[in-house]
Amino acid sequence: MTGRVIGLVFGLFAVATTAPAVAQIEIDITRGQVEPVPIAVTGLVGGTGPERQLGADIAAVVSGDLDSSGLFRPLDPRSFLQKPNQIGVVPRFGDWRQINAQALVTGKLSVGGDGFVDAEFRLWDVFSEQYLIGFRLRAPRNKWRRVAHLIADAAYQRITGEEGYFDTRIVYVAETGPTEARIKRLAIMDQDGANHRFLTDGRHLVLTPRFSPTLQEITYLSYLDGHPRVYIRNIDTGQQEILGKFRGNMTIAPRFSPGGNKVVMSVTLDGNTEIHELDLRTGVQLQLTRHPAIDTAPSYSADGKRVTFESDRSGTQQVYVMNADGSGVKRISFGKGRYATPVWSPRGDWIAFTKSRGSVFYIGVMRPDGNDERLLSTGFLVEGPTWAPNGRVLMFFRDQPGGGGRNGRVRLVSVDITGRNEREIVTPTDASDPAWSPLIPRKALGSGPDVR
Amino acid sequence: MQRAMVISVLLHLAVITLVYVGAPHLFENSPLQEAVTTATFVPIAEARNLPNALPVAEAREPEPSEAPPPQVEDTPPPPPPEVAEPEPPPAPAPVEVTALPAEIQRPRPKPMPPARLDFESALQSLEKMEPAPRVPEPETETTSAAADPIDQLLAEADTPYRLDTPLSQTEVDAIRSQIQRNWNVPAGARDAHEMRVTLRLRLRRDGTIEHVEVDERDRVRMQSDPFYRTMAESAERAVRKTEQIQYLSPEKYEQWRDIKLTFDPREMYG
Repeated sequence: MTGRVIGLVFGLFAVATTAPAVAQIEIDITRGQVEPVPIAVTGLVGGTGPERQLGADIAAVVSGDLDSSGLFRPLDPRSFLQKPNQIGVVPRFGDWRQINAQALVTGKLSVGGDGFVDAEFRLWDVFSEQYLIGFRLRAPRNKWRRVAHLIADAAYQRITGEEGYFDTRIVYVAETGPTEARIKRLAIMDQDGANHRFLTDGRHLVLTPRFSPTLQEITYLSYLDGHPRVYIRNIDTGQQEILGKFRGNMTIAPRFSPGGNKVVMSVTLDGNTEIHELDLRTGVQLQLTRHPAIDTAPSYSADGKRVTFESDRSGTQQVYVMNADGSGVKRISFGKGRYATPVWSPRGDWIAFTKSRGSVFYIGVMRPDGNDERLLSTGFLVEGPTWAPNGRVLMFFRDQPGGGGRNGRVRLVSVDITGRNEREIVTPTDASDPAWSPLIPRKALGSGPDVR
Repeated sequence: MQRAMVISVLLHLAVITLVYVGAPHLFENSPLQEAVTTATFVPIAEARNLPNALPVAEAREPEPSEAPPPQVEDTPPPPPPEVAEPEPPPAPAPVEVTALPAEIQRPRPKPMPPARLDFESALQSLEKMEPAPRVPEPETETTSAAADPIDQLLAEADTPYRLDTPLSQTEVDAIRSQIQRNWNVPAGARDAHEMRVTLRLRLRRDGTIEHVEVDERDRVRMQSDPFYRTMAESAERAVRKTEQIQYLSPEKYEQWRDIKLTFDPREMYG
């Protein structure tokens, strides 16, 4: 009897548990691919021959930008089934699916008599057949590369969810001449290497240029008056001045705060190097560290509330984090080897650093609490990481020694924070100490409405 | 003495004849035997692996384009996999092309994606790569497909005659692997590891997608978090790109018509 009851109970239980399982299946997808998004970038359609040429040039720059990010794979225009000038209001999505494009960039362009370009851009999701984003833009014709960068930024941002970084510039130290008489000049170029020019003539040694996050200003180290001093310089006017009046005989390693109104740097006085903060508006100076060890290479957190820096107070170079007022110093690097030049990501989630172990150098990232350390690149000498404004890409320089007394080769290299897509940046001369600018303000495009 | 000599010579002769006659025979036989073993082995593997084994599908991709492979251990793939038994007649209805001009209604050959590297982690670290170039995956769908054939036998054994059984693990894995193949995970996005997205999927009888949408609860977060929106869109794209789920038993349609898909990239950031 009891046996039967138990059997019945179990039977009911079995029915109760299996019934809902039949109603709907649930499947977890826990793995996928990491590969570039295939994207079709059509030339902006124009009425006249020169307009069509400009439209094609812009499309080529957009493709180049997206390709360089490693997150997109622009498709060969020769594979397009629907020609750009056939695209009316809505593209024929089937044609684009067939060539396996996931996203599609289309646009129009006209050049006015006033020398301004009117460009229109649209981004489409091919698989869901949806319009994603678009804008119209008016810009002087000679700024057409910026139009392309803005289109690439918009497409990148809509598809990846991150802010773009193509409409930016790079300042770096251009190096020429033999090792014993090296000439170092400040140089600036667009993020893709275009519009390259030198800012200084090379008579004085310059080092560690850094961008202001809000203005087109840079700060750097120069031996202009014979001593290493931190200078601030306006890129457009070329005006420069010494930053702060420190009693020390040497100021190095400057870096702006996220708001751009403060600078942290190292000041060496009587053989001891400490980190100081300088308020650019009030001129007030504040000493942040007090320790007989060498404290240098400070960098603000994204919110400006903390500062990371390197110090040899433990006996070897390691990375530390402290509050912006100098309190709460905490060591965060505990791996094997020496850690130097920490740089806080603009996104706030990583700190990039240079690590050396034995005779090998690495560029790596770790969380601000020191966890999740990952090494992204390596070399005989890799150094000086700088972040793209979206905190997704790092640039640094790599020094490859030359054999047999010849000069080595020093080049800028970029790498994605996933550790993929390492690329060398093309520069006319040897290049070191890169600094990535913030996004260039849109109004710098010149007059004209700026319709979003 | 002479007798011993004669015996020795005779024996030697016997051995030489044996070798002469027998050895070629031995060599002739061996390839034949090999061929037999492969021929019997492959069809079994086909039947088992088709639903959930990614590598098999990939390995077969290049074949059609090339000349018939010589005499490798590959036998020509058996035309229709046994799993897809009484598939309801044609129904190659093109998906979601309603708004488009008539000329593209022709069933388009789905371009095969290029073979991909097997994926381990969305993030790459040199240090991890140095000592052990490739850390074996903790949980692998690929090996599980090849392993425990008994489980699979059991899973398949009850399909023909029990219509009310829930989908077997093999079938669930088949659906998973087909979508996983098309999911391009946005790696490197901030907090990408904390982004679970749930999709509601409705299938037609032929396995094509009738409807797919992000679950209502997750749509709220899409509005405010662009990274999350990217993740959700990548999941939706994976389903749309799959177009048609294959190797589903039609008699179980009621069970796989509505599917709740949860995309969770956390494992890839381990």
